[in-house]
Amino acid sequence: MMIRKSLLITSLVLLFTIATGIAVPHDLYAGAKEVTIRVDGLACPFCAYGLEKKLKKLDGAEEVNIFLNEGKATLVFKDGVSVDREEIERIVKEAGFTPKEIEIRAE
Amino acid sequence: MKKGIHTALGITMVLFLLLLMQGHGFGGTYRVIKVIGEGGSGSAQFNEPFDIAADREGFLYVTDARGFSVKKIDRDGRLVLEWGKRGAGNGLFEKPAGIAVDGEGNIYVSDYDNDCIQKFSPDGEFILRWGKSGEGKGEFDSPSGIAVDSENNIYYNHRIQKFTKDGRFLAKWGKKNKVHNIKSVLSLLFPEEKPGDFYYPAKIVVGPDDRVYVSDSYNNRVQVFTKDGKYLFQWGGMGFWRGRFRVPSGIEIDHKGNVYVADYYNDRIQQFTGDGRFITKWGSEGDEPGRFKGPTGIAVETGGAIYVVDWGNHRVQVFSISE
Repeated sequence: MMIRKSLLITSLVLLFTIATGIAVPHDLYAGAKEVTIRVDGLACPFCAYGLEKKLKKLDGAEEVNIFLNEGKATLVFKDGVSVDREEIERIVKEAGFTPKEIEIRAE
Repeated sequence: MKKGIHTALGITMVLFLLLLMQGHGFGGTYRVIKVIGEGGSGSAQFNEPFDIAADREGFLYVTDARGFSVKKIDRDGRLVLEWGKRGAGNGLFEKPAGIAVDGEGNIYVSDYDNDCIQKFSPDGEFILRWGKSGEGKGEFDSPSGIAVDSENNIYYNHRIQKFTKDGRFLAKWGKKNKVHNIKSVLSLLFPEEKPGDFYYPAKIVVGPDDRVYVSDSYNNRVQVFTKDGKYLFQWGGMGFWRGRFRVPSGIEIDHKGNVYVADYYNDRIQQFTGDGRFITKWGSEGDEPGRFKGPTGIAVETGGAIYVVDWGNHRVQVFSISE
């Protein structure tokens, strides 16, 4: 009886773990091509180069441009790449800036 | 009550005047000799030039960050040589940033994106490359400034690392630590805040006495060390008046030991004595000759001319200063 109960609990935990793993935790945008990020606190080449370096490391990022005067960064992704909004936000914060609007456009 | 208010106002005024007077000095006059690059008459053109260094023969070397190259120009701004193209291999650049020349005329270039330093002959031939991404000894995280001392040792900043001319690691010092902006503005009251720590230091230079001067950009100050990394003193603090900085960037020392600082957000150059006393300043925001849009690099050529990298205007401006 005890063994059955243990097996049941284990199975439930396993199922829950698998289900959590399968669920999509982030906002993924399949087929997105261009992303524009409004960034607070972007004002000098040191800031721009730091952010640019980190954004270039995003999977599938083909082109990164920083527009200091407009306080924005634009990214162009390779075809077929899924864009992860949360990942972009995380990278912008990691570079020391505050992401504001993130606009994701399909081709 | 009224007397109390008057006393408080008086103290405030005295403090304000003291702040304004700090660094007061009398300097020479400067004038623009030449503008090289966008809108200028020199033949060299730049795309986000970032740093500049002078050799003993009067040639200047400019890192062209968005052009993925190093440009060698003569005193008149003529392009003598250009090397490098985009990439991560030997002799290639992703973002050439700091540049320095040693006593033998060799050129050292830090690459901000590739996290390495490369060494070239005066003719642009690749000699050596060292460094990789990381936080350990001899590893880099976005290297920007670079300098050479009298023994041809190489200094790289962010924290400071020191290498032999062959890239062998010698020493490191400093850590990331931010001075609070209010304490920075009131540096008269907090003169030795967090000594030896840095917050995004941009450039570094070694003086004739082998003292190491670091523009500690986001702490808005200049810090000075012995060549072994012992903290000596600092000056600056956040502000727009004389002797103050808003993101000091390029830093250079002339043969007399005077220090020049490219004050990025204040769009000006400031000149100091080697112990940090203010001498003079020039420049303001704009694109006319003599004005700047974010100066990031500075070099003093053997003849005494001062070359300033005007990052946002994609040009190099040449100044003379008379005493």
